[in-house]
Amino acid sequence: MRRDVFQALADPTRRAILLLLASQAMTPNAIAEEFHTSRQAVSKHIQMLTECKLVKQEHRGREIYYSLEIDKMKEIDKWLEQFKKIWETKFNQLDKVLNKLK
Amino acid sequence: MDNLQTTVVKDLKEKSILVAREFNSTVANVWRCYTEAELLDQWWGPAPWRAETKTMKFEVGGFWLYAMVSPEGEKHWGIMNYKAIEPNKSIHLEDGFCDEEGVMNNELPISIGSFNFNSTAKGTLVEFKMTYTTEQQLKTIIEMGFEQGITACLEQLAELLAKLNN
Repeated sequence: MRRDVFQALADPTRRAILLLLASQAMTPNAIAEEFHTSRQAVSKHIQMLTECKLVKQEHRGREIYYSLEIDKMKEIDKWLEQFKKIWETKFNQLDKVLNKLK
Repeated sequence: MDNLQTTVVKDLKEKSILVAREFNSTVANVWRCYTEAELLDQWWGPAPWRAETKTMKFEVGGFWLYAMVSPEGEKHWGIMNYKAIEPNKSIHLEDGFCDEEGVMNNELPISIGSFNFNSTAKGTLVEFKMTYTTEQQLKTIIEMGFEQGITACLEQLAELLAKLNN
């Protein structure tokens, strides 16, 4: 099954992981230490986030570090920004219509 | 000029998007602009697109069938089915894509929406909440908006500007 971004973001633990990674790249162990769930559970969440390309892996020596895949996150915000602009255009038009009604 | 901000809040967990905006006008007038075809046609289509009403039956069980018309005359049909109406307060609806006859396209996302009108010191606050039944639908809307709707819209605008400059 293909994973999608919204499914990935639906889970609070995964959102918390993304927040953690927003400030720095972290190893799976360091991420797991932040949560009360098992390392195995955390690792499953990380795997899903990786499959959705929300986080990426980077090998540094023997350690694997996870960090945010910025482009994918930006995609959502970029769309919301465009969406907002469309509504702003519509509402400015509505202001003019309302002025005529006064 | 008052600084009227449009706010957009996404809630991925709830699969919803909330758009809020305040207007310097009475609730009664804002209500008219959301419920009368000839007024809706004047603002619902974001320029350079414009909205063109085919049928408007503003009543519970009724619907607004309209086309979004591009500067080239290309039409995309949309429909709003009115589920509940509380005059000057709220409208609950189902919003989707359809054909010219108003037959809903079930393959494209359908959202459940509600408009809420609130009287404020400045005038009227309108909140529009759109909820999608599945994450896939919200994702499709985002992809459509991002890749087709918006891009098409911006391309049309660029073409129009190019024509004006010649």
